[in-house]
Amino acid sequence: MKKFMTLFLTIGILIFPMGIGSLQKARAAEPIKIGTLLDLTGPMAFLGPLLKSGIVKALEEVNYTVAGRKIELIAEDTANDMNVSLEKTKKLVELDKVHIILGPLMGDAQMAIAPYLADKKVLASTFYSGTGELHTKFKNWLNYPTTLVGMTIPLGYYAAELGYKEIITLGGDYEGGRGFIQGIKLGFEAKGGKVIQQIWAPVGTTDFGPYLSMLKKADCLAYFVPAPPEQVRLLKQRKEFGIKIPVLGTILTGQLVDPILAELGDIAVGLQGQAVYVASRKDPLNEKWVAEMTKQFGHPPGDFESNSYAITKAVLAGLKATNGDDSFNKLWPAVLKVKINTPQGPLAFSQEGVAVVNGYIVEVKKKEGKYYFDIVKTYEKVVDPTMKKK
Amino acid sequence: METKREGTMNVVPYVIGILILLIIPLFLSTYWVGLMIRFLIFALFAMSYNIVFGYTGLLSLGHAAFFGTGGYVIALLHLHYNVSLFWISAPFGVLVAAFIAALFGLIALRVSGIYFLLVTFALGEMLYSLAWNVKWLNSRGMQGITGIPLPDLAIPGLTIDRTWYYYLVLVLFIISFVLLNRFVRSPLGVGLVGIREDESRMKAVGYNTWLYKYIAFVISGAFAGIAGVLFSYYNYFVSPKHLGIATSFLPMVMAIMGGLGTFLGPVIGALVLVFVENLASIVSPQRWPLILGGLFVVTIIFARQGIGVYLWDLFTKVRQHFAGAKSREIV
Amino acid sequence: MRWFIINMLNGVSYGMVLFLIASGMSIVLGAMGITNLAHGAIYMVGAYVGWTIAVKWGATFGLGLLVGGFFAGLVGLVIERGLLRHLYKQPNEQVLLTFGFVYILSNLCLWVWGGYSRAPFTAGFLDSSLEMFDFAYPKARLGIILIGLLLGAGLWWLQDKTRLGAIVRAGMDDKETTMALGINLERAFAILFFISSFIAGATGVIGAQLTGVDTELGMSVLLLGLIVIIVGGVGSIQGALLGGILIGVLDAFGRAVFPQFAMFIMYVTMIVVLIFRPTGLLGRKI
Repeated sequence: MKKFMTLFLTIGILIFPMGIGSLQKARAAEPIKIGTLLDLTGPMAFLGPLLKSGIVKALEEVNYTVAGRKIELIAEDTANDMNVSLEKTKKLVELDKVHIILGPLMGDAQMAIAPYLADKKVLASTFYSGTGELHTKFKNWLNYPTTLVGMTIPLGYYAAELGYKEIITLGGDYEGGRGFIQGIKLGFEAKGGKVIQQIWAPVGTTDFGPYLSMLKKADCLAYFVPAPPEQVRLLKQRKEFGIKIPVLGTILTGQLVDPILAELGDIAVGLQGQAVYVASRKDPLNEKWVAEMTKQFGHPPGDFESNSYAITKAVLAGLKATNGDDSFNKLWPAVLKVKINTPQGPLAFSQEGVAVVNGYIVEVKKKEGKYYFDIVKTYEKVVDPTMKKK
Repeated sequence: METKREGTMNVVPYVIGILILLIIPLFLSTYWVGLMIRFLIFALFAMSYNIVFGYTGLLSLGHAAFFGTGGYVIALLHLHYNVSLFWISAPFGVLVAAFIAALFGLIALRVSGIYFLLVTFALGEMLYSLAWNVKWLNSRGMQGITGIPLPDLAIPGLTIDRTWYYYLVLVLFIISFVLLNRFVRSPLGVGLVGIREDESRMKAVGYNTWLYKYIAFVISGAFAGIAGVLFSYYNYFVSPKHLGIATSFLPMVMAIMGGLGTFLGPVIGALVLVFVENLASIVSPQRWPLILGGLFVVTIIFARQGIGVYLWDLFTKVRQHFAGAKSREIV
Repeated sequence: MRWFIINMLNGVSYGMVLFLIASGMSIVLGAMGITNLAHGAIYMVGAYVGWTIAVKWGATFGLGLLVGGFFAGLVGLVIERGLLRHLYKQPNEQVLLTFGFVYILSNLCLWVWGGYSRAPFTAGFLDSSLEMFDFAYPKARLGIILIGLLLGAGLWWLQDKTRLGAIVRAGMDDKETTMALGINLERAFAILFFISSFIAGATGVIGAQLTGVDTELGMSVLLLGLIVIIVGGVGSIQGALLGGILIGVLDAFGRAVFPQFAMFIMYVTMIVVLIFRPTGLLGRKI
């Protein structure tokens, strides 16, 4: 008997105030609520604050107001976990009543929440690309900067333009990795090249030694690895093992942020590859933005800030066009029509919600003891051809 | 201490409890109903674990293997065979989970103590690794299977939504609760406690202790499978994580926190875990693992028997205090 | 031939790290009967501290190793003296407590060092390759093999040849008599736990040459340690060494031959050992 009393008491103590709390929240005033799912803990925890700063900057620029309505940003931690992501999504949608969700970053978390969001009429956006399935199965996702495949097609073109005839690809064996490598392959083969070997490394690979010793003879090794430490390890091991084959990397500016680039040191100089955003891009809008971000957050901005900033700007532009109406049916078509200039470059959307932006090829250079990325080639209005078929 | 009468149960508190659980959805928003579903599922998971851990004394670190298997079966039936009928998927899920438990039991019960811990852990991780690597066990291109719809009960006119699902979970929870309670009070269940306390003596008296342990292991796995089935419907997805150590820790934590070897302990532990987890991440999105870890440590230091027993003792002391005052009055 | 040697060396160097991880856990498990699930987290702390010394402050790698190990040893000591001490014969509580510390330590590391994973780093003089036969092999990995052997020898000596080792073994078997003989068992246990944690932390710095440092190490290293212990057997340095090298080599060749199933090889090995020798290849019967 006593144990039950304990049980009831515990339930009561815990549930009661929350029930009250949820009632109160419903009665509050009506700002536009934007929810965001960030990795604040877990292996990608360093990205959470970066993504958030981009959103915050965009919102501060309009003073958290659009079309006369206040904007409230609610951030939740995904802990890099599908389960947690879904729980937090439910909280944002059901408790906080958001109609706009920015993120999550990770592909599996996106797929975990997508079915739930599908009939909740919430406008969602990726932070750093996402699978094409988001557009074929669901019709409420913005995909920035473009699909996985779309991001690396320019790298494939570039490899061919460098005169390479045969290349090897090395990719992380999961959705993201497969998508990126597919883009390289598509672009390269479209220009007449041939991928003669494809190596797939399991997720969590810490040691690329074995793969480097598997390389056949080719003109170049194009790689994608899921996280900065893995890219650093790969490049260091390449040097340690004395591998001479030229490499082309992916997500260079995204992964090799300043502190990591500095740790990599001289090995990196001359490295070329694909990048989404380049801080050194010569453009007045970009230069101003970089200066402000550096001043405000203490370090130069990179891919993640740029991505979340651009997405938020697009959403804000859409909200302006609908005159503050954040309901999905009005906001979605409005955002699709948005055409703006961002620090990354010009931004527009395809009718599936995939962003259409520039793709950059960059190179690591060293000036006055500091390492930085320089743009060596720009591909405009990159579009993923596989999307068109669907 | 309440006097226990052999064979009969004081039904009243249970009835009250069921009534409360029945009317909760009327007062709470769907968000909190969702949390209650989560609580019931975890409580079931923890209760199943308690059979092997609390009652039999076997510290297993691989219980999620059965939990996850239940979930995966549902997902695979939907992914590859388009089956979403609850009355087919769910029993199948439980059967396969029990089968896996039967298999693992044969291996794990060859050892005991620390080795049992290591072996059960190993087996669980193996399933995790399988689920991660084998393409057939995953949705295209990712780890895990997404897009699992809410179960189809084939009752005309009834479409399952969150609230109806809550009732489904509640019904299954109550049934499982009763069955497990029966089991624990049966001669088999009592025998398990004997094994926990002193296995060699039980053997000496003629018990086939291995068989007892094995049965407990399989039954425990079956009920974990039920919880796993319900969990994957709740999430619309399964991931290899549901098979691995991160999930295997949960029922152990819940059982210990709530009070080991007591029947309700795991339920209390589940309640505390689900709600503290939720609260902690609202309060501090970035530091909540710290709060959770702190909770474990505090429980061990101050409420070594588990929070449930701790609160009960507290309550008893309070009651005695008042009872004492009353009897002083009478005299 | 070259392929074989490279992978063999990769396997042995990785195996050495595994051995060190497992030996730390095994000491405490076998000698004190304590399940310390926070071992991986302590490894992580040592790695982070070592990183701060060796990379952020630019001191030598060796210093980073020692300070990292020392700091980790302290953390372990605090956990043992403050909390674990009360839970000697209670595995359930030990598991819960040490697991709680995995969460706590991981989050603390996140707080102090931020979420960036740290790139692998090594000593200046090891940051190049040795010309062997017709290929170059990273000196750092050779260094790991060497250190592994040295530390292993030290541990074995400790286990079998010192008074401390004997005391602890006696205490494990019969606490009362040991204490009645006037031996300060508590102190012996504390010292042992410190040593185990020191090794964990130092291994963290050593391992960082291969894998870098991140906040997930708490769990991932724990997993690896447990697998090696299962294969090699609890309670003996030799077992940890055998288990570590075996797994390391199998893993290296596995990745080279079929990368997709590399993870799986570890588990298959584990299962095979479990079926035929449940207490591990060189384990003491418990």
